[in-house]
Amino acid sequence: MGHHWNHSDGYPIEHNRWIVKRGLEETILVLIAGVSGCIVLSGYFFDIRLLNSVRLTLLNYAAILVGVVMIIGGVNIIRVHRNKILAGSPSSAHSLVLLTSFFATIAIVAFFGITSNYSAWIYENVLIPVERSLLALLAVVLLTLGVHIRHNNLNLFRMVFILTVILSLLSATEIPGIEKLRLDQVYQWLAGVLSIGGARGIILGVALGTLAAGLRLLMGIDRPYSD
Amino acid sequence: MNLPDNILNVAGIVISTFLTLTIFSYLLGDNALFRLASHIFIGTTAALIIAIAWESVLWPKLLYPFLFGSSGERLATLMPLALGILLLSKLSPRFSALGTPVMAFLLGVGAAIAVGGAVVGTLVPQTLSSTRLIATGSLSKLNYENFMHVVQGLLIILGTVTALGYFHFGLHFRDTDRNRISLIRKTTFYVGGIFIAITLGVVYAGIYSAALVAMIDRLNFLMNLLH
Amino acid sequence: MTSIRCPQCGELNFAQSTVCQFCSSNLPSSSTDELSEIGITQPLRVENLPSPKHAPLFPSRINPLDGINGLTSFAQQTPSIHPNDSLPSRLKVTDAQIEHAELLRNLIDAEGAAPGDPSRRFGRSKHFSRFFFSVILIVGLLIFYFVSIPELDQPEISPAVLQTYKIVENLAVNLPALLVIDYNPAYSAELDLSIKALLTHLARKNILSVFVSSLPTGPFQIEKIFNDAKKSRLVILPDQSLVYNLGYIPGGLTGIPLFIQAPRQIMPSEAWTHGQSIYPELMGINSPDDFSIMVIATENSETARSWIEQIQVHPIGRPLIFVISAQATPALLPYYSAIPKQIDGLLSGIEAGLQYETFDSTSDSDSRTWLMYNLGMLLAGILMAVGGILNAGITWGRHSP
Repeated sequence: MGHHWNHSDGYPIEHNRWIVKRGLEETILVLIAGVSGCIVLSGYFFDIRLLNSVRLTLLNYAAILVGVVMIIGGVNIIRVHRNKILAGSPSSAHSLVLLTSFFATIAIVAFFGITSNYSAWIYENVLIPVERSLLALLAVVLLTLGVHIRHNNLNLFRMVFILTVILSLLSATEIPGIEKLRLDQVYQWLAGVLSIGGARGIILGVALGTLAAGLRLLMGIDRPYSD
Repeated sequence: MNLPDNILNVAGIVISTFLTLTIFSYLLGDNALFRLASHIFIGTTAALIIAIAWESVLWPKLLYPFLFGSSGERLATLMPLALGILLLSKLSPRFSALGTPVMAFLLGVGAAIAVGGAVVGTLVPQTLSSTRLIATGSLSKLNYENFMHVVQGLLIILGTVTALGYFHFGLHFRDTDRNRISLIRKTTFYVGGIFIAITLGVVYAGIYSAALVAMIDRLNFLMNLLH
Repeated sequence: MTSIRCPQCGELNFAQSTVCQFCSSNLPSSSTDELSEIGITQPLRVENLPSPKHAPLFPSRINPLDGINGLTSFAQQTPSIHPNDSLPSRLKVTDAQIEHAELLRNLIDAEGAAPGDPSRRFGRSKHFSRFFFSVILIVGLLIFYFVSIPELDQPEISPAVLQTYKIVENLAVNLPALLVIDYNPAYSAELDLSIKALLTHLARKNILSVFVSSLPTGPFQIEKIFNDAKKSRLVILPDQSLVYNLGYIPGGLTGIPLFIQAPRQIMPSEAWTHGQSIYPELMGINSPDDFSIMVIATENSETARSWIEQIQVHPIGRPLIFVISAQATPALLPYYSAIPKQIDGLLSGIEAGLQYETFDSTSDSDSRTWLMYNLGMLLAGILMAVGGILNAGITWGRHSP
């Protein structure tokens, strides 16, 4: 193959070999993704015992490798924040706090076990308060956004949207007097009939999009794994 | 060493209160305390995720069988172990290309799961369900209940078709083009958009409801400290 | 010379490369003479990129089989080798990309020059309005701590909750139940109520509840559910004899298909061994079919959809109940209302949990919570309605002649 490309085109043989090598690498990657994907996909439509056992093995490998990915993610976080501290960036103090909490948690969980009272204590007294508080902030943000919805560009869809939100909120309340407005019956039509139609259209659209994106990946048209 | 429960409880309450209040301080604007709490949370969460990945995946399914299992178990774990080591090379910029085939495998398997599930789990049953909405049994006996059932079924079908049409036929058109768009496309666009606006309005109210519950939980926690 | 050799590994790279593509080390910069040989006489910036008439310098497509002579006819169609020909297709610059880059550069240059709307005085500061509404909401919710709590009827049971109750009531007592806890800690305030109500019902029927999760934080949430049940006023599980934490499903969402088909293959064997030593009835479990019921709790409609899709591929032949957050309800209603149903029971939001508890006469919840919830929803509805009218009025007033 190398002899066909001589120096008359101005490029050394090694350079052309690099092109071939890149092409081969890409082909192998496409084949790996495509073949493994097709074996797994076949299990959804065919019930062949040998294929099924290969499929289950591949799924098992994938499940284990996701665990490795989780480790990689964790190590990457440590590395990023370590670099911030070493570089003396303005947020290095926060990075130090992050690394301290990380290693303290790892030490406690490793020493006492993940089912110990101490691990449960960390979950209940660090994760739960922070996550619930962050979600609580969202209530304020949504309320603010809903009140300030701009009407310079009012169109039919925005009106329908905000009316639906208001009706849904009011009909969910059991405060005496509100039920006289019969909003719950309106809400039953909104949420129980009309929104099912819209939601079904959305989930069908999402499924079709997933199908297209997945097939593009399996056929090698999209290669997100490629460098 | 087993710390007395009451010390743990008090420490837990102090830390929960501190984290809750620092997160809520975001209502006054972004500040260092809020960032401090976020970094503690990120560090703790990353540590717990790594602990679970090790305890539930890597050690029992990979390393323990390889180190202490029978020869059959060792052989069975050889392949995932090799793939895992290749994947770990993603941490190094110099050797990250070694992990690319493993990423291709993971993405291929993931795409196949998504495609298979979308077709068998959503597209087929939801499409068939839409065609069955107006059961012939409802038409056999004409009463108010059956009539409402038929009306609801028709509305859901209308919502499904127009919502799907809104997304899938690229019904975006500039003002200047509106006169040239057919009436059917325009109607589909507006009707589909209304159904989607209703669905998103219900979702918005649902998100607010979930966030409100979190807000109530945090307020109850803080008030119970004072009482 | 139109290529540059890496001083570290000795491999050849393109003249305009700054980092070696093989060993990622820095390359010495190319001289202008070298760059000019391939038609680049100026630094590579957007305004210096060649115009479309110089397109042959930047061919737009290359496929992985290019360069392999004789394999396909593509080899004949490939233009003569040029350094930019062998660039991966992503690095080639098309005319459209040049135009987009110019547009982006102009937008960035114009950034920061946009003036605010001086006529918009009310609520101009984001922080002020957010703080203002947070005060209204928090003060409104806390009002029941300072005034006497009025009587408020407990919510009437909805058809969906009643159906779920009947399904659980009719379960066979000799088979364990499978509960999947797939919600984040943030949503535990909303969903724990329904899970606790279900757990109480199952425990009263003496049914073993086996818990799993596809989330890494799931096992911790499961332990929290056990601890809360132990501390509950109703003493649901005094010695945790009717619950077992099977742990984390390796792979998360990737592990779901394998869990549905072969749970013993994917879960660590030690988890099963330990469980079987305490609960011998786990020995007969080889698939989700062997459980009496499957309950999946999640706040995420994507997670719920993944479970539904994978179960549809391998139907479990047992009732499937979903405990979901209010935000995910619209996305799951099509599955619940499908013919035939893809979901048998649905408990949505905190209201469903309260309804279930009330119907089961096992209510352990503080009535103040229900009042605060109602007031919060009412407050939001009224504020949004008033805000919408005010905003519309201001906008109309500004634009009217």
